[in-house]
Amino acid sequence: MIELKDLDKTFHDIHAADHVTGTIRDGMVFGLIGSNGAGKSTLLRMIAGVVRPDSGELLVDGAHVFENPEIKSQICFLSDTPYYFQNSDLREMRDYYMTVYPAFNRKQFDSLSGIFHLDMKRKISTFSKGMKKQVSILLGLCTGTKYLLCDETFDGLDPVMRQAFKSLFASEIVNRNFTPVIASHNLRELEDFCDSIGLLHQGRLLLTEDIDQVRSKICKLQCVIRDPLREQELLRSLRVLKSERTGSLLTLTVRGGRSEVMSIAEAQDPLFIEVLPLTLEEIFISETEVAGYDIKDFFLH
Amino acid sequence: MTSKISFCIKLIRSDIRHRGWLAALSGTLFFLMMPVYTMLYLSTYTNPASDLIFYFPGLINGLTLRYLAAAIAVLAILSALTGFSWIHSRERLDFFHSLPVKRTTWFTATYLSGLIIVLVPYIVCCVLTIAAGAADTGMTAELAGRSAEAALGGVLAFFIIYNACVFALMLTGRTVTGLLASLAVIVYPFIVFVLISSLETAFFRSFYSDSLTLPQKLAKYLSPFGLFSAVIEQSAAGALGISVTAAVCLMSALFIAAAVLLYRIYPSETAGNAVAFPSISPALKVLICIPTALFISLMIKNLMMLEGNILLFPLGLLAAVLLCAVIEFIYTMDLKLLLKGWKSSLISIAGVMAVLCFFHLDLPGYDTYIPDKEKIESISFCPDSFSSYFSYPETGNLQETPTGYFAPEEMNDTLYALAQSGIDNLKNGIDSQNVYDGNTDDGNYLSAVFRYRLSGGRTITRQYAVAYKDAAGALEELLGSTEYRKQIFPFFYIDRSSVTSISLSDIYGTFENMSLDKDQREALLKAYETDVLKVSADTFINTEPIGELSVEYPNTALKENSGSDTVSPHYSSSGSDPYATVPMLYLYPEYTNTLALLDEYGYSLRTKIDPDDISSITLYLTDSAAQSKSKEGIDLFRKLSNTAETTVYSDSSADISVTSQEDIALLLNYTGAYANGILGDGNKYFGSVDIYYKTGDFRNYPLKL
Repeated sequence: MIELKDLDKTFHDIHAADHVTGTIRDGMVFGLIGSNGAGKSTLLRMIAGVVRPDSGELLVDGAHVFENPEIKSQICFLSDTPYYFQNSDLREMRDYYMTVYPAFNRKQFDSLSGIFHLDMKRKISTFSKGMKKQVSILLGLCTGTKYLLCDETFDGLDPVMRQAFKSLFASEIVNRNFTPVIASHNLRELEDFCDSIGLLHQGRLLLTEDIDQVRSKICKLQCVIRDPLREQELLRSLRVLKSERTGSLLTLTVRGGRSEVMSIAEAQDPLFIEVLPLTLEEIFISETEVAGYDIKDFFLH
Repeated sequence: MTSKISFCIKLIRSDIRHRGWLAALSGTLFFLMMPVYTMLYLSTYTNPASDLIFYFPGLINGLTLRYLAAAIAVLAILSALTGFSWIHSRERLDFFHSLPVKRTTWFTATYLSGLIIVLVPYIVCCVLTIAAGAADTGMTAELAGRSAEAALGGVLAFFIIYNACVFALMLTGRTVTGLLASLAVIVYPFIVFVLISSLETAFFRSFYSDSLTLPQKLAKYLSPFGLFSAVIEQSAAGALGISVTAAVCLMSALFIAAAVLLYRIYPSETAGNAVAFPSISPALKVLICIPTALFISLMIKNLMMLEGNILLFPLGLLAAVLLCAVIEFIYTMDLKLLLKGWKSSLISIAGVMAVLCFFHLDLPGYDTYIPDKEKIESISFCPDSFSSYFSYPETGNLQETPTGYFAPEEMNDTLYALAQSGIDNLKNGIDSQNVYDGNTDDGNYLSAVFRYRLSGGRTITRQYAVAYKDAAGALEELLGSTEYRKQIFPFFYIDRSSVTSISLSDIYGTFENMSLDKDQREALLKAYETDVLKVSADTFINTEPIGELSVEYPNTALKENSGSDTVSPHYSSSGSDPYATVPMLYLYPEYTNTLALLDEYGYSLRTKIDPDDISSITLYLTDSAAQSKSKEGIDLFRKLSNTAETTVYSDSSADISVTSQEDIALLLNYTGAYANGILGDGNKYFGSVDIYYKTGDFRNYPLKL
């Protein structure tokens, strides 16, 4: 388990991690989502032991990570821009990883390289961006580490490869103690893949929960209420994150379970009422808007 | 532990494999510059094989071939830069620092691989070079030992530069700034220490140094650049000192320790920034800017030959402002942010001005300082004229007696008073720098060096301008002591029994080797000794020499010290054995014993130059003489015939060549003495004359106007 306790990190004037607290449980896919510059990479680099937090505590399986090779041997960090030695090929990188990670599964790597049609003798510098990402993921998977930290790793992969790697991750989770942490902007990718998510915004962790729980706690309400007083009463009785009106149709993004919201809305005698689940992207937008990240309508006004 | 070592070895091997190009470059450069160059060198070597010991070690560490020394330094920098440049790249840093390896292990592996990559090819090439030498001219045990010492010097030279660079790289977050920081760390202490001496020379009017000052010695031992030069020079000369070796080891240890500590706390997020620890940026700027700005301003002043020190203030200010801007640009890489660190810039500029004020106003009271009389053991008095009056054996160009002109203790009061008069003169604007400028109208002065040997063993040196008459009075008192005469006259340092020949020169200035047997030589030298001790001090001070003796003897000092570059004897090679010569054993009319013996041996001294013996005279006028247009000078020029050829130069100096007998006879009246007395003659000269004899010889004399 990865425990983040009041983690804080500042680079010059940028508060990259603002007292982040949360937990990443073992055996599930954790998605780290956040706006640009939210601090996702910084958080992953702190978990990987690359960056030392200014304050707070970061424990992986109960031990500090920074300068702790024993714990770091259970973590593999895949940077958004993977590094390979100059003029190296897959064999050289594989051998290097084998030197550093004692549990590296060479057989699996050789086999997967074949499946993904990655030429072992070809220089990695001649690979496309997507292929380099594939190599990075394969190397990370085969290190045999318990935690795999992927920073925008799936970006640049074609849909087929994305699906293949998702399957590979799922298979690894089934076969061994494996916890991938995936940071991405592509929320639709994570939606059907992650078990839980952490939502980062301006260095702060807005929420960290199981994806189902998140969905159960927030929903979209569409209703038509003729009486403006009743409508005002509805808005007062709900925890509204976002409100939009199209003619007489009121669309609200509200906190709360579906049935709870429905019963509150029905009490106001609506002409029309419907409660819809939110996509992860909608949840992200709503939560970040609440936190002051709202520029999408800026250019329309 | 074994597994840790084995793991580290794996990392080292991996690093060496990834930097194979550097190993290849090192191997190629060293191979071409060492065994190949040695073979070429030896194929054209014509000196005796025994002399090879003086040159061969230099082929191994770069003293003979300076490009090799430069290659060692460049490869050290390159090895450090390529080894640790990954800490300046976010991608590479993310990769390496996320791996389950401790930072100390990374440091050890990268550090050792950098050493191996360059030093292994170097040592292999050292062995090949020695083998090439052995195959060509043979190898003695001594030469082999000296070569090994030279190789050790090369290794130490690499080591110090490499460690300095590694330390510098830990302070930076960009490779370019890492390179700049490396250069700064290598030369910074050297610049600072040399700067102190330079500022003392520029500002302190009584400053004098005839050997390395303390800051200059520190520059040698406390700067990587100084140590690099010292180990190469000393190891090539077979004189690798423990002090230099210890200094290299100590400084390297400090650099490594500091580098490891810095690396352990190196913030990964600073990769790409100019400085790895932003909090030290202002301090670094101040530390770099102040000495560098001062150094630049002094350099410009010297290059442009600017007089006075006032211009150092605007130059220093300008240099400081520009340096602050450059450093700030390096920090931010944004021209709009040049004023971002305005506080540290202001401190830097103020620091430069403060240092200049400190020296300009002589706040430490350097110029007016004189030790308490009670603390002084003895005082040495050495006027400038001594250097042209005395020439000592052992080393012909040594201008000072081995005892340093220290006077007997009972003379302390006299010399102390003379020194105080020098300080008073200095307060009145007369110092050793302007004493010959012709700007001192109120009497004749001469420049003299005073050394105060204190009871604690420390020696303090100052240079003052003292009035000629005061100096003459003091010297007269000093020369009253036989002990003092024996101390200062070079004659008493000659081993008379080894003298093989004596030459004589008179007013014509041409030496004639006297045909004397051993007894005659001994008798002549004995007579000379008697005369030197007998004549009054007034003879030395107020009388002009009429000739001189020059003695020659086998130079044992040369043979003993031929391997050292500190002895540069004034010798003439006669056959295969070099001979040392001690000239300037002047003869005065009062040297009755010596002159009588010379007469007896058939050598009489001419005291006047016959115009008929002269083919031409060239008169050289200094710019001040040409501009002064003194009455005597104008008279002289009017009297010259039309055949005199005058050339005036752009700096107002001029020369006049005369060939007619009338002009020659006229100019002979303005020709100064054959040589000056022990204190000079107290006059200012406005030029000189070259007299060309019909025999083909010529001699230079001062011009009296």
